[in-house]
Amino acid sequence: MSVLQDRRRVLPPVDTIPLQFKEDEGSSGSKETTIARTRTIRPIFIKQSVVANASGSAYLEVEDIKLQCSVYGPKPIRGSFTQQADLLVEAKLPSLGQDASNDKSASIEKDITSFVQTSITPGIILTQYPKSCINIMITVISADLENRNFKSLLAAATNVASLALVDAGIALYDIVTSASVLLSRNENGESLYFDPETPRESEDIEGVLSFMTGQDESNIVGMWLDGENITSKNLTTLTESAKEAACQIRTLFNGVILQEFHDKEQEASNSK
Amino acid sequence: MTLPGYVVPGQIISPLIEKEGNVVRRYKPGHGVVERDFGNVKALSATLVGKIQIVSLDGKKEDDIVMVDDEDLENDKKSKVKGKPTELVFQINIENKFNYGSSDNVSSTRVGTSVLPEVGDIVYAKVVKLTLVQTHVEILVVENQGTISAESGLGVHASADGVVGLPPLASGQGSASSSGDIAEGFGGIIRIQDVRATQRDKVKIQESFKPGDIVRALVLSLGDGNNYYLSTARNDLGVIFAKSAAGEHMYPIDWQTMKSSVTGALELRKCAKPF
Repeated sequence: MSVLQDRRRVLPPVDTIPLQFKEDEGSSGSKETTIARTRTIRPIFIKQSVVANASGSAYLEVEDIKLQCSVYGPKPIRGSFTQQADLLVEAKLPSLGQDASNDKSASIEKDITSFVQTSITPGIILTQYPKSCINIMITVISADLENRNFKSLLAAATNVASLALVDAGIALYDIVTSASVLLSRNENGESLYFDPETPRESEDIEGVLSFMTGQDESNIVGMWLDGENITSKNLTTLTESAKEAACQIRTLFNGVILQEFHDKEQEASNSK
Repeated sequence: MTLPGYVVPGQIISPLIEKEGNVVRRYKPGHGVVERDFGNVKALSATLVGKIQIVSLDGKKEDDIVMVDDEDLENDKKSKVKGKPTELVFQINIENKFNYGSSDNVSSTRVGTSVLPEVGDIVYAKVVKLTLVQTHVEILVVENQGTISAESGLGVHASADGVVGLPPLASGQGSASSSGDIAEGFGGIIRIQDVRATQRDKVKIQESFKPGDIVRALVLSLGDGNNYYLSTARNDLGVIFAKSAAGEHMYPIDWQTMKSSVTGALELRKCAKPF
């Protein structure tokens, strides 16, 4: 073993070959059955406290997108004194069964990381944690990066990180929720899709926006739009509709986290 | 006005001051609650998921206050004649899953959620290293706040359902932050002048602490990046648990001597007053 090797990683043997799966012929037809939804989001499955040794964790599933997020911290840091906590976000794509295009997955990981970090940071009261750092690790268990909408993955990643932070009991100004939207433009006119499944086509605009909807619904904390010739009217439509979707997600989250708290409370009083 | 029973982060709980007839109620932020500015109004907002718990800060129970309130509404005239405004102060805490059912958070005066040591906190720490001028310790518990890390106790290499190995930190290309290393624990230093309050110049570190001792100490300052500064210069602070050179438990017999429970051998320590 070379001296310079990073010993913190558990490395596989050097001659490891990634698993290769046979292309499932039956599944190619099912991709076209995508139904065009308009103002609804896809059903979301969420669960908190899935990792026992993390400070907090969450699992989120929206159709093919499966994400797990764990939060570690606040942990002590070495080095100089800091008045507030450092926030570290790290994303990991599944490495098995993928082509060896490492550069590509690294850039996707970076995209996820930077968007989630931008969105999540304003929601956390970092000043309550001096001299420490909070680590957020997002693991993409499954996601179709080729044929599905990447903005929807970003929204899901932001949402799962928010849930894990709530689970960790880290002080939050507000829960950040994120939603993706797609404005389809063609000769027939414009149509808007919440939580799009397919990536945009040439004339479309797609975007993902993060909100803190607790008190003031117009608190945008993260934004990423792709598309050409975006008019101010388009922008308004996109932000307004993303806000509506983010509020829907927030309502769901509120319900679920309160329910999980009630369940735990019930458990605690039963065991007494 | 009714306060919410259960809250989620970001939810507004109450205004700072509320006036109802002759009763003025002031609400102060407690555990898991922060004061926030909403435009021109200040209000209390939740930072955790949990159950709202109201503690009266002027000694009256909440039930009494509700009764007073009802009377006020009924005998509005009477109280107007009296013309004596009552001021009541409450602290609002959030009971979350980490401290559910414990009475600790009632006595908690901490604003916010953090269990990290703050100036003025009493902490329990383990002595790890002695030098001639200071004692190095590792802070384990903050009194009335709980252990420092929620994951502590279940080590990184523990094997239980759902335990996931700790990922390599800040090493991947996907990381967007440039933060530095993770330290071993929350370190602290007790300097020689902070060991006891009297005859500070005669203190010898070797005769006050030994590695492995558990010390009850006061946080003097957040210190530098590496260490908190702690003090044991009070009667109720000092070594609370120690083993002798032979490894037997010892009990304190006076403020500077501990006795082995088996052999009766005496060793020097700066002891905390037991009761």
